[in-house]
Amino acid sequence: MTALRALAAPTRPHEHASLRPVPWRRMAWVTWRQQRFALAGMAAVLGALALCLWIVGVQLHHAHTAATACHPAGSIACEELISRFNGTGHFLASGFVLQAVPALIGAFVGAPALARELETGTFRYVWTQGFGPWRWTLAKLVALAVVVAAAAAAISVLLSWYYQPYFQPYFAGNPMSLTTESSPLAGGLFDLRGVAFAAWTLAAFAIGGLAGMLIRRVVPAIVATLAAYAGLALAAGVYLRPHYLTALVTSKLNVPGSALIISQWWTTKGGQPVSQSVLSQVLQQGGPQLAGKGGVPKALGSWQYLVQHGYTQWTTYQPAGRFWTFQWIEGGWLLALSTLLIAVTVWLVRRRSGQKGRERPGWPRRLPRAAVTAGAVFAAGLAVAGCGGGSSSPGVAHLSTSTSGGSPASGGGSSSAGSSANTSQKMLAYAQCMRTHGVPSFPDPTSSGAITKEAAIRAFKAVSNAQAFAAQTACQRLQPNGGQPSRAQLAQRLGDLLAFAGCIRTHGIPNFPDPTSSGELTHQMLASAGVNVHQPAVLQAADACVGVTHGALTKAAVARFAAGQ
Amino acid sequence: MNVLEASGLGKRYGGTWALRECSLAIPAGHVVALVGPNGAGKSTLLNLAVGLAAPSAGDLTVLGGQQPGSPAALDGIAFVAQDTPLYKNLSAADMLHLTRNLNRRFDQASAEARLAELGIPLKQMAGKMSGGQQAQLALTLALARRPQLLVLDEPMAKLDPLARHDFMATAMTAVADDGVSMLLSSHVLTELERVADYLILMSRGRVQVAGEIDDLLASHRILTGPAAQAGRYAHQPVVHIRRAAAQAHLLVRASAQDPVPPGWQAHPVGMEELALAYLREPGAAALPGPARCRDAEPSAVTK
Repeated sequence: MTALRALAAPTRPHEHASLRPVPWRRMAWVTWRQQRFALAGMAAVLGALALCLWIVGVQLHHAHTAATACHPAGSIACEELISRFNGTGHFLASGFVLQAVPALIGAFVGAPALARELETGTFRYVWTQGFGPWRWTLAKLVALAVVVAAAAAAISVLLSWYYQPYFQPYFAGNPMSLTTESSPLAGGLFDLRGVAFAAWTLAAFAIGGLAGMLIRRVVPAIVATLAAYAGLALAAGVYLRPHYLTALVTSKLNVPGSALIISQWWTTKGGQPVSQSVLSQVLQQGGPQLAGKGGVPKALGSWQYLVQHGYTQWTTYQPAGRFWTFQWIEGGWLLALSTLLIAVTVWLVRRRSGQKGRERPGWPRRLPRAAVTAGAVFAAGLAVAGCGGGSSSPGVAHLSTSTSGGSPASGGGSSSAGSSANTSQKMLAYAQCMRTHGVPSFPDPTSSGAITKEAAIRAFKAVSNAQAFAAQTACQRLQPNGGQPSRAQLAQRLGDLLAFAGCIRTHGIPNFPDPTSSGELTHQMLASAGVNVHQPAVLQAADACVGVTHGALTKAAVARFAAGQ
Repeated sequence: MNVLEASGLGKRYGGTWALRECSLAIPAGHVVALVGPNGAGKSTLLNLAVGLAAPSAGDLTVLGGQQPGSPAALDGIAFVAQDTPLYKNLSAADMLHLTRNLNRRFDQASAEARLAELGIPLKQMAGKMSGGQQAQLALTLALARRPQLLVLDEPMAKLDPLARHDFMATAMTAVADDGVSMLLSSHVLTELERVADYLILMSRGRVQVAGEIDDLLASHRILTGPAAQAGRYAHQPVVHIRRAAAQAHLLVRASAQDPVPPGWQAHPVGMEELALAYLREPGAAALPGPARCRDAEPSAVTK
């Protein structure tokens, strides 16, 4: 003992109190070494996702090019091409599946970053090294945040490219089509494009980091991260995004289909708001004027009636041109939130690095790794399923008269096609042309001179997109009227659709909106009018009313529309 | 320089005090045994010293006036936590690299030499090592930082006797070669008896005994005499009375020079006997004069 004590005098000169700290850059190797499996897992999942997006995206872009280049719009061939476009990658079309990507990255990279150290007790090793606990936390979180955000930014470039076709009109030349572009501001796709995707990923990561510090166990922290992220994303979409800028207000029906409709209401001449029940009463009082035979409203319907009676419909909306402004606003506040969350985490480490992080006895240590593996497999499975399920089902999300079955085909409306022998001959020549140009089973016209739509669609389905496109391009000149619907036909169709909307209103859905003057009726318009397309009552009313459209709409088309969210 | 200096130190977890009203000064250059039953507050005191916890009350400085957790304190103190936590998916070489990156000083050559001596392959994953190897690796990492103070929390709790011997041999070599001060805790005194020259005895969140072992042994004696007189013994302060049939054994604070009353026989006391006696009398305390734990109980006996 004495010998030991003699040796024990401090051999080192007393060092200065303000030591130069260990350089930050040293944490790069440390973080990489510790997180390489998590990062490799993330890279694998994102790589699979990118591959999938690329493969389906190329198909989607081809389908879109074919559909937009197809002429004349409204012909069976073009309708078939549009339906194929709608069917390509439909699993990803709503963007719902991809909403999970930031959450999963946050949960499986962010949450374990601190929780694993606290759970396994390694924080007692790493927080007593010369680097210091809060500097270690800051360096690790910032390094991971940068990597995660960069990976997400790369994916979002791919996503922006992938979803491009959804934000372009299929055919600008056809005002009658109910198939329109989506609003780039609508939830679902807004936060997958631009800077929002990377910002949401960063926010999810920061939430995960804080949850890990607070909860100190990996699996509960992952669960909490997913829950908190879902809540935040939902709240942001519903309460924040529509109000980033003051919405535009209009009393006309000229709101573009690409706008995000925030609300719609009616006022009297004096500017007083009118409730729906009052409007219904007004419409009922105007019954004899308004209703056609059998209670079916006349064309142009109640909207015009109400306007004529001094009521005004107001619509507030965000125009699509604000997309990038909204992107930067959303990216900005998410970046600020992420910075704040990381700062709070570091502060917590600094303040209460303290408390004993004893392992709870019996807590299965292997569970976290198993959960990570399971999560990665699950996410990869989702991505692959998104790829595989992409091509087979019919289109979603848009009510399209263009695919309406049963009506006489190819721009020859029933009124004109039957009357003219010339038309009949033209249709015959058209059918022969189609058969010789790559659609071998294309049907001849019936005795009335029209081509049965179902048979034509079957014929198209038997061949590739390219063949159908080539055949249509070669043969469209043979179609009556060059395949274009006449002005009279367009007016007729708009009238039919207005009648349809009016009919539904009289069938117990008083809020059902009229289509726009260009014949558009979108999910957004319905949603902002408070109509839930999934309600049986709505579907029953729609089924009951398809008859008034003279074939412009069918029950099948309505069902497809309802199925598309 | 005092490697650790506490005054009125307390730490509360929730509503319970894990450590309270502790005043203590540990001079540099000792191998300090921190001994006490489970739940005595040993780990709490160590966590406070290495900056893993912040005190709820009182003050604590380390390495001659540094705040625990400050850059200088982190730099000068190496800590091997209970169960020697290591990254299970990193190899020994990676752990060396990791520790080198996280510290201003790291003696890579000596660490590699020590691992080679111990027969631990550099490529072996920490998670696949035996408990003894993990403890040795953790100790090697700590020593390669060239600390002024090495803090070991229950380092030998899960080691077999051979691994314990090897572990302590490594630690003691460092103490002898580099003049490292060492603070190690255990709930078993015997494993520290051979190596420690300074004892801190804790129970129920309080420090009971603190001092150099030689001094403690020199200032305590066992007196054996008639059991009937044991209760009235008043010549020297009595720490503990152990009765065996007609005889009683008293641990008293007395040096070899102190007179022994008639009818009593004096014997020197052993380390273990001394510690057990104090642990059985939580009210008793033997602490150096200026730095001591203020104890609420009036029966406290101080030097």
